[in-house]
Amino acid sequence: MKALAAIVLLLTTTLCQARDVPHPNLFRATVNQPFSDVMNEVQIALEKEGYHVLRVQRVDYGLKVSGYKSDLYRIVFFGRSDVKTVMQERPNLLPYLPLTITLYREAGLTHLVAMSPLVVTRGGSPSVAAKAALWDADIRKVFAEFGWKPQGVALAGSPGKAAGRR
Amino acid sequence: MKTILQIVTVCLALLSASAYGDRVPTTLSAQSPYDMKTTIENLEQAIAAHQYRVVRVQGAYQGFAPLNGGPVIIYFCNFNFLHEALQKSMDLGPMLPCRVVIDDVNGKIMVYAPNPVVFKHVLAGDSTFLDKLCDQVTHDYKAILAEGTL
Repeated sequence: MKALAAIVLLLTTTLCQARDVPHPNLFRATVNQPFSDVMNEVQIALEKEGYHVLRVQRVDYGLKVSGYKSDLYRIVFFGRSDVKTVMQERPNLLPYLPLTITLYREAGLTHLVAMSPLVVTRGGSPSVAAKAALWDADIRKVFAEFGWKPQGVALAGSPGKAAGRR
Repeated sequence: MKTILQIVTVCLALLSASAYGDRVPTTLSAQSPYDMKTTIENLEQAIAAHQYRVVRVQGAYQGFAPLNGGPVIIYFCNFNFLHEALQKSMDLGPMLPCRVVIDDVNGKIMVYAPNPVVFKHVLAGDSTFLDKLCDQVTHDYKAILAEGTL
């Protein structure tokens, strides 16, 4: 009886803490560099993977206009021709496209966060899944430039690129 | 014993929901009986009625060349709500801004919104807060879709 109660407690505790563990499809990176430099580097890294920045949403501006103090908080929308193709072929994915990376400033550091497109393309057509896998790999490459590592496993690449980053 | 078994069952159900969170429907949708223009106007009114502010209305393909019409995205935000939410977690970016997409699919005007449950399973942080946030946004999206296509 006590053992069963212990299992229940363990299961409940595990469930409650589950979201403290980073989800494998959420990319996060923190760098000790000026926001504008990181923004430029993100754009360059995206272009290197064949994407272009479509627009930048200034969330901090909206907050300030509404009377709130806010440090920099921007959403970078980006895409390329295969993103548009999926938008045309799969209207139900339109709420998730173009792709985005969020950059914000907090405690003197610049943070980046993005969700993998794989989260919303599972169970879809194989061609869309294949494209999403490419986008996922590209976003991983962009985040790797800012020191992100998947699930604690070191990425192959140039360690020098992450110098001065946290 | 019966109570413990019930608790175990609930825990397993929760665990299952957590493990298979990626399989929830990714999109909320509704069909509009109106044309594109009227649907957009109705949605803008519904968005305002739920204390959100329209940030931008634009073609979904804007920025891609060539620009050739197509679906329309309404981006909107409740900055009071967002400010509160950001005090708890700054990593809400993938959810932002709120948006609905209006598309003409073979003559049917469809409205799509992201399903916040998708984010609930991916975002890290205080699960009680994320549950509450996603439930609230889901409620608002459903209400806006319903009222915008009524």
